[in-house]
Order: sequence, then structure tokens, then C-alpha cells
Amino acid sequence: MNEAPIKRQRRWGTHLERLLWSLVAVTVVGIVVQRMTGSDDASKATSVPAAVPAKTLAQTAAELEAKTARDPGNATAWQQLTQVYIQRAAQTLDPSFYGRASVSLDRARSLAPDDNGTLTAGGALAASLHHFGEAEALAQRAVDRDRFDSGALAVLVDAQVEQGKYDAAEETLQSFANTKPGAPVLSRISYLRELHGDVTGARASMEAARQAVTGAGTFQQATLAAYDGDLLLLSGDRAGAAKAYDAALAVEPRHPIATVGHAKILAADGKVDEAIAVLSKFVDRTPVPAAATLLGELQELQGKSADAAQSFDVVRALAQLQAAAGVDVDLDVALFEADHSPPSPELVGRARQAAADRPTVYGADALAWTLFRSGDIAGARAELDASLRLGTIDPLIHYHAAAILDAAGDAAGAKVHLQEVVDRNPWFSFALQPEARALAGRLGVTWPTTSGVGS
Amino acid sequence: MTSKRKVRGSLAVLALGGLVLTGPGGNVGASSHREAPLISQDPVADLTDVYAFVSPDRADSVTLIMNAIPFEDPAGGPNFFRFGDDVLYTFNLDTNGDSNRDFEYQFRFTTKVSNPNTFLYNTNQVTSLNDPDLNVKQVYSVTEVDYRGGGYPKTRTLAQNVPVTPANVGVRSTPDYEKNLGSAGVKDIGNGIKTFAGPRDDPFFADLGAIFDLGGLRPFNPAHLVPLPAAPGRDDVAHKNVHTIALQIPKSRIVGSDPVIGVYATTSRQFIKVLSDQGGGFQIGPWIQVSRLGNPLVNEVVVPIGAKDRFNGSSPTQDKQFLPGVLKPELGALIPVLYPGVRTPTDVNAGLGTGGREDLATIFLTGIPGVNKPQNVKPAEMLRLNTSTAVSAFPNGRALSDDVVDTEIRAVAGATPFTPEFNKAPNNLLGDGVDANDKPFLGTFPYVASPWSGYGEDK
Repeated sequence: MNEAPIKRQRRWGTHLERLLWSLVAVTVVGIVVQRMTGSDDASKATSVPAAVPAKTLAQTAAELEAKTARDPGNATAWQQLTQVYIQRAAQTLDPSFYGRASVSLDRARSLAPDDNGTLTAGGALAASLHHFGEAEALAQRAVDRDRFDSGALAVLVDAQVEQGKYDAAEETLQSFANTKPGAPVLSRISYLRELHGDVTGARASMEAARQAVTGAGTFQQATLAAYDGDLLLLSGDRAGAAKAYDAALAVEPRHPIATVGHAKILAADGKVDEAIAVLSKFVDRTPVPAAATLLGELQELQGKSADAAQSFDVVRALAQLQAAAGVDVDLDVALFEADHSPPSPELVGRARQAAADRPTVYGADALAWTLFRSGDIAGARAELDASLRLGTIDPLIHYHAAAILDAAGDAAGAKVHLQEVVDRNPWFSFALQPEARALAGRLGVTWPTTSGVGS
Repeated sequence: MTSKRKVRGSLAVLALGGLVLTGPGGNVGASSHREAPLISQDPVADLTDVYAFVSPDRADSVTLIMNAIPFEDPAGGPNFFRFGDDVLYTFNLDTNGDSNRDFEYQFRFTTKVSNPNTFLYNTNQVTSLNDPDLNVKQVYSVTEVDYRGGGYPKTRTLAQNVPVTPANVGVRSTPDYEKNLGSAGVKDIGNGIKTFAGPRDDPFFADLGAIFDLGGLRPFNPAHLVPLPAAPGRDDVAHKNVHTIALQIPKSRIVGSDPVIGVYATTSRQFIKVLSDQGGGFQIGPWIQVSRLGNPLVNEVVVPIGAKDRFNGSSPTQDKQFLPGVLKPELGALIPVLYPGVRTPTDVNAGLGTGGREDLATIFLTGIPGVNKPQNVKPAEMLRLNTSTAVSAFPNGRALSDDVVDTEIRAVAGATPFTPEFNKAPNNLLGDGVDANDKPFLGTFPYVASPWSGYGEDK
């Protein structure tokens, strides 16, 4: 019984310690890798186990590190190592892998600058750092050289989507689908349909993608199941979403997206304490921004402001780590801070920059919401055309539109968007729950009270 | 990404590591905003090997085998591997050497889940193919498409609702696997045709780890550019399963006036419209080929790795585009570098009039005169089997026990009758030191050995 307060007191320390340790560990590994790759001493090879079919990314990385150490003139190996580091960064959410990816890419570029593998690896790294213009240019060069190159086509589609070039993305994806339909195509089709407001079509395509990866790694299976869960949540099917998250966690118990989804379901079912427990435990070991954000929002909802402030500080620390690794986090930071910091010209400037760099529906939404929070209602309203232009069904976008239109005096328009939120997923955001409820009361929209948070 | 044997060892380490790029990790606060997932593999449609041989116990028939889904871990639960319901698996046969297919044997699969409310693959012991305790069942259809004569192709459904053998979950769930389930998957579907589909031991054997580490051949380690002590080879496909489709057909049904048949397998997925006008639909259309496989190790010897996507979508009728790579193989130039002292030929006249490695073009594209070359051949990459040979061995078709790695390395090193001056030590001794499969093959159809158990009692 005495342990609980002590544990709580220590939590902030624990988060920081984790971050520090992961940084230290990464630095040490980085040095070792540098030394290995810089060495041409073949005798070291004897201590490296033979490459067997890889089970984990870490093993694959180790094998390629050994290979590039022994054969530093092998451009293909450097290209592969670059891709593996990018995947490691995505899987571990440890941004320091981008630095190692960059070193490997430099080696590949010095050996084979115009090779499709080098161009595609460069495009993939640029996309991971959110430099989508550069990613598009590199991938386009590779596709121009070989229109069948599936790796380059994938990067090209992603880069176009993330710059809001939706028509170009559709065209690229269709030619990708015409030459190599499969899970990479299906999962992208799902996302493009989702952006265009076709949730049923998005689900059909995600189901097909899930089916297509039955023989793939568990992380991949879990990721697609978790995305399916997000789509089900979007289409208002909470039970279906819960099942999809469970399916993801059954094969990959610490999957970040599935863990966050699972916690959202718990909270929406009124089990907020349980959700907080799940997220605290998870964030302690795996500091993931989305998990720390949700944790903070739930803590805030429970009146635990000090805990919430600590969780939000974790989010900020993670954003700084990402930025330090070269990742452009303007868009994400803008959207986060709009709800968790007082408005400031600096935040508005950051949101404007994000929307200019990435003129997507989400770029426009982040700018609209930041302007709204800073009191510029006319400016916010002007961004709605852009954020609603595809008919994207995302309760967050619709709630933002409802609040902005309400503030601009368009109650009828506000009501339409708020009704969309109620019909889809009124638990879309736990931070915005109280004000959404208040807006519903003001506009005469019935807000569900049967279960869930704050009822 | 495909996993032809080349890719298995090199790029495929990528593919098989369970990779997904879920979007950059910079998703700080916008939990509902996600970026497009960068997924780079399609194992369900990924062919690993194709075999074609005269059935050893039924000399009037030919057995065709294709394997898909590389490197299956036997302990694959709870989502055990299965064929893709949305994938078309096809054996393609060219019976007159003109590079056009004359027959297709198409396989389509349907998954049936008895109780969708459980994750469990089976709810109790499974002792037969229709056991109600088997929760996830697959069945398949076999369709023959006859293109001979050039008119409208004749399509016949040869079988429907044939059960796929289930996963060998373990000694508790699937006791006496081969007796109860494995052998029960062999179905006689009339006209002397037998069919089988299900998980099996991967019959391929190779020291991939060494080969893809700078072309290492452990028995020849001391002679390598980066010398190491000599060591026996290691079979990196040991204790792995694949999904096998096997078909046994009477020769009389498919062999025409030329005894040589060309065989390759393909997988296809259906056309998808990215955005549909009405929304909500999953608009689909014709089949699009995503993988193609005939000769083993095709990406080493025939098609450079950079052209793999192009190759996988191509038809043998267009194979002229890949000829330069065969005539000047990368591996041929690499061997003398990696093994100083070993010389390989660069120009071999085999009567094709192209220059370069005409011997390799003969082995991989036309067939060898007097062995497996059709009378009127148009060069194309496929397995060519002379059905009049009682006992054949790769490159005349491919039997399960053929050591194709050694055969191909030696062929690239010139250790064949085409080049007697290179057909001597060490060229004709090169090899990876893995000479046989880790499990004995069966004496009867489908010949491929029983799958490894998930529980692991058979290891």
C-alpha cells in the first residue's frame, strides 16, 4: 500500500531515465558500428555468425553491418543497411537510427550515386525525416529510370500524399497497382480512400492488405490490424475496433498503435483508470508520443494535472529528440501544442510553416486549429476549405470545423460537422471531450452519455 | 519484393525480417493522423521454387510442384500461414517451344472460419481434414485452361472444394500428422490427375548465409579472397516449411509432338481501382501477374536483381530483353575475383551466334541440344523437361533432390561439357557443401516431406 505514492513520485524520473538510457545505448552502438564499418580487418569476420534467414530487424542490421565492414565497396549492402536503419527507427521509435541511416546512405551514394537502390533509399530516408519534396524528387528519378521499381513507386506515392498532391498520388498509385498489386499497394489504397472519405472502401482494402501479409512478420501483421482498428473506430464500430486491436496485440503484445488503440477503447468504455495503467506501463518502457499524449489527456480528464503535465513534457522531450535527429516535427507539434500550450505568435508561425511545407488536409487542419486557439477566427475559417477539401472523415477535423464555424457565427454549419463527430466517434479526443460536450449543448446536438469518459 | 532464391539471401533479409515502415516516428500528438505505411513484401504471392519431373513411381505422368511463402517458421501460431484467397497460383506450360503458354493449371483458394469469435486455429485435436475442431479451413479449385490451337482458350474446372492440408500445429493438436492429415490431402480428381496443396517441409537446401556473404562457399573458405578455415556447409532452409501446390498429370494429356515441355509458375493478384467513383466498393478487374519463376536462382544467373520487378511482371515471350544479362553474367565475373586462381570463361560459342556466354543462354533459355531443347525453340526462361527421359535431373527439369546450387555455380564457372578446358578442378568441384535436404522425400506423390511441427517434437 505504501508503494503507490513512491512509484508515482518516481514516474517522471523513470521516463527521463529511459530516455537517457536509450540515448546512451544508441550512442554506444553507433560508435561500435562506425568502428566496424570503418574497418577492413577481415579477421573480425570470424566472430560474426553467418547470415541466416533473419528473424528480427536487429539481426538483419547486425548482418549487414558485418557485411559492409568486410566488403565496404558493396553499394547494395549499404543501400539495404540504410533501409534497415529506417525500419529500425520506425519500429523502435528511436530517432538516432536516422543518423546511422544517413551515414550508410552517404556510403551508397559515394559508390553508386545514380543506382535505383540508392535513389530509393535516399527517398525513403528523406520521407522519414518528413522532407517530402526531396523524397519525391529522388523517387521520381528512380521511377523514371524503371517504371516497374516497386520500392521507388512506394516512396513516390507516400511523398506525394504527404505534400497534399492527392491527384498525382492517385495516378502514381494506380500505375503501381497496375504493375504490382499486393500489400504495399493495398495498404496505400486504403489510406488514400480514407483521406477521400471512403471509409468502407478503405476498410475493404485494409482487409485485403491484412490477408496479403498472413505470411509476413508479426510486426507487419500487427500494424495492419491496428490500422484496421483505427478505421473501424472511424466508422463507429467500437467492438470491431477492439477486436482488431486485440488481434494486433495477440501477435505483437507491445505494438504502439495497437496499445494506444486498446487504451482508447478502454477509456471510451469508461475504464479510464485501466487505460491510464496500460499507458503508464507502456510509456515507461517505450516512450511513444501518441501514447504519452493520450496518457496525459486521460490524466487531465481525471483531474491529475501534475501527472498530465509530466506526460506532456515527455511528448515535448520526444519531439526535441526527433528534431535533433533531423525530423521535421512542425505539423505534429503545432497540433499538439494548440491544445496543450497557451497560444503564441511562435506557435502560429510554426503551424504556418508546417502548412506551407505540407499543404495536406492535416497541414491545413493544424493551421486552422492553431489560428482558432490564438483567436484568429477569420484566418481559421479560411483554412477550412483546404482541410475539408477531400471530404476526409476524421472526427478531429470535423470537430475543429464545428468549433471554428460556431465561433464564426455559422451555427448551422457547425451543427453539421458536430453531428458527424457524434455519428462517427465522439471519443475521438479525450482532451477535447469537455469542450465538445459543451459545444454540443450549445448547438442542440445530442452527445452520447450512456458510457464513456466524463459522463 | 519477391523472394526468388537470390532475394532470400540478400534483399530478402529485408523482406523476411518482418518489416514495415509505419510512417516516420514523428507522430507527436496527432493521434488520428497517420501516414501511409511503407510495406515492402508480399510473401503469400511469393514463389520460392518450381520443380518438374517425370513421376518416379508413375512413369506415364509428370509431376509439377510450386512452393510459396518463404521461410515459414513451423511455430507460426496463432495466425498460421495459408494461401492467399485473393491470389491466383498458376502452372504455365509451353508444349511446343514457341514461348507461348499452351496450358495453364490455375489454383484458387477460399478460407472458411467456423468460429470467427476465437483466435484459435483449432479448438481441440484435429484428426481429419473435415474435423470440426479445425477452426480455420482452406479449400481450393483447380482449373485447366487450354490455349492450344490459338483460338478461344478452353477452360475446364477440374476440381472444386478440395481441402488444403492444415498446419502441423504440434503433437497435441495434430497427432499422427502425415497419416491423418498430410496424406489425406492427396486427391485423385479424375482423368489420372492428382492434386495436393498445403504446408510441407521446404525441399530446397542451400548455404544461403555463406553464399550471400561475399559468395562464400564454406568448403572453399581457404581459397576465398577473404580466407577462412574450411568448414562444412550449413543448410539455412533446414527446419523451415513452405506452402506447396503439387499436380500430377498424365503425359498424354499435355505432351504434344515434342517431348520437351517448358514449365514456369506465376502468381497474380486482381486489378484494383485506387479510388472508385461511388465509394465503398472494392472494384476489381483482370489478373495482374506479380511473380514469375522457372529456373532456380534466376536472379543470380538470368535476371539482374535490379530488373526483378520487371521480370516478375513479364511473359516468357518478351525474354529477349534479358538476354544480355545471361550472356554476360555478373556472377561469372565475380567468381575469379572472390576466388583468385579460379578462371571462368567469358565467350563460349554454343552456336547461338550472339557471343558471350552462349553456354548459359543454352542452359537457361533454349535447352541443351539432345537433352531438353525443343525442336522449334524461341529462347525464353523456363524449366525445360524432356518427358521422354526416365530419370531427369536439373537442368533437364528439376527434381526435389537436385543440388541446383552446386550445378549452377559450376555451370557459371564453365564446368560443363560446353567448355572442357574449364570442366576440371577446382571449377567442377565448387559447391556450397550442402548436398541434400534435411528430411527424406516421400516415394509417392506429392513427394515433398511432411511439414515440421510447430511444437518441435520432430527436431
